[in-house]
Amino acid sequence: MKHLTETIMATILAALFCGPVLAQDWMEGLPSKPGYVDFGNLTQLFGEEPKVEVMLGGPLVTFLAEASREEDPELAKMLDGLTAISVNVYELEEGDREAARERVSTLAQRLGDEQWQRTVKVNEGDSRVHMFMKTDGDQIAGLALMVLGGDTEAVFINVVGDVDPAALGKLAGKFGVSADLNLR
Amino acid sequence: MSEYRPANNCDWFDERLEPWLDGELPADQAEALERHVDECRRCREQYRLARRIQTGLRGLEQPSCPDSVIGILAERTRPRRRRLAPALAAGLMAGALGLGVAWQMQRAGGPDAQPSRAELAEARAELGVALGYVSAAGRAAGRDVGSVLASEGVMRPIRRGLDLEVTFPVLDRESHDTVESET
Repeated sequence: MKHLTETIMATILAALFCGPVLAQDWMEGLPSKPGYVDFGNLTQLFGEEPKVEVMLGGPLVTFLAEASREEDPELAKMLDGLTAISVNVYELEEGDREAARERVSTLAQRLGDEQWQRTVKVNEGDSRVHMFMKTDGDQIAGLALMVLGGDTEAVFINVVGDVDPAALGKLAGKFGVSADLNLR
Repeated sequence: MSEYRPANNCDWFDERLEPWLDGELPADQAEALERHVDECRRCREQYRLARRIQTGLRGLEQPSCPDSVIGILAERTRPRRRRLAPALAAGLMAGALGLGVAWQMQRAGGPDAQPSRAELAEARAELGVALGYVSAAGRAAGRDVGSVLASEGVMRPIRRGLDLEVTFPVLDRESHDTVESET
């Protein structure tokens, strides 16, 4: 019995100290974060790959924060709280619009059910804008934005982490990258 | 002479993606692949995904097993090797396997696991695009994102440390001709 206990202890110790190095794929852990949103298989819905796809997170964001700390402390501070950011932009084809509206509506309903707080809802013509925020105690856990730009584009954004929302727009201006969503 | 074959670019790309990422291709082939990635959306996505995976692997922390643990394992192994052989061997093998795989991953990232300057620049550019769309989505809603989220309903958690003014109500704008409603 004693030997068995020792054997188990030895195995546990080996697993405890040596195992975690194998389990650091940040994308695997992402779905368990409270601010993460699973938008579902959008590529299948729209029948093609997104025209813009950004997925940033994990160690690269940490390195980016460190690299920016002296030159741009504001960006570094924002990145410190950022777990991941994903942007998927799809071009809407003629046959996609109804399905896209349905998907966005279903997702909005689901986010509401999952205690995401709706901060914006716009229905104008064919355009839809939904913005949600999730909090975890006193901290922001994530943002979710879904935009259907008339008959041209569908945009799905998820910001995971405790990110100062005021800094997002400000930093976007600093980067000098502007994206136009053709709402109508 | 370059092996760039316009008639079969994507198959050609698939075959060479890994050696390209590992920096093992001759310069002319690497340039041809770069041109192809510029032109072909499918391969561009493949390339980005592969780069992302590679960068993720490089970001793994330095694997290490504390000396104290190795000492404990060695101590436990020595006097009772025969009696504990099967199970302890399995435990040690699991640990060794873990270290081995981790070492391989670390090795794949090279001696310096930090991303290169080019990778950081690429990540920064991607972040710029992402923030551009966040900003555009906010504009589409008629507000900048910060102002929208500074609304009364979500003010309490945000204002901690931000010192924002409550200036906007929660926006729920629908045109008169829209009949759709959501709760």
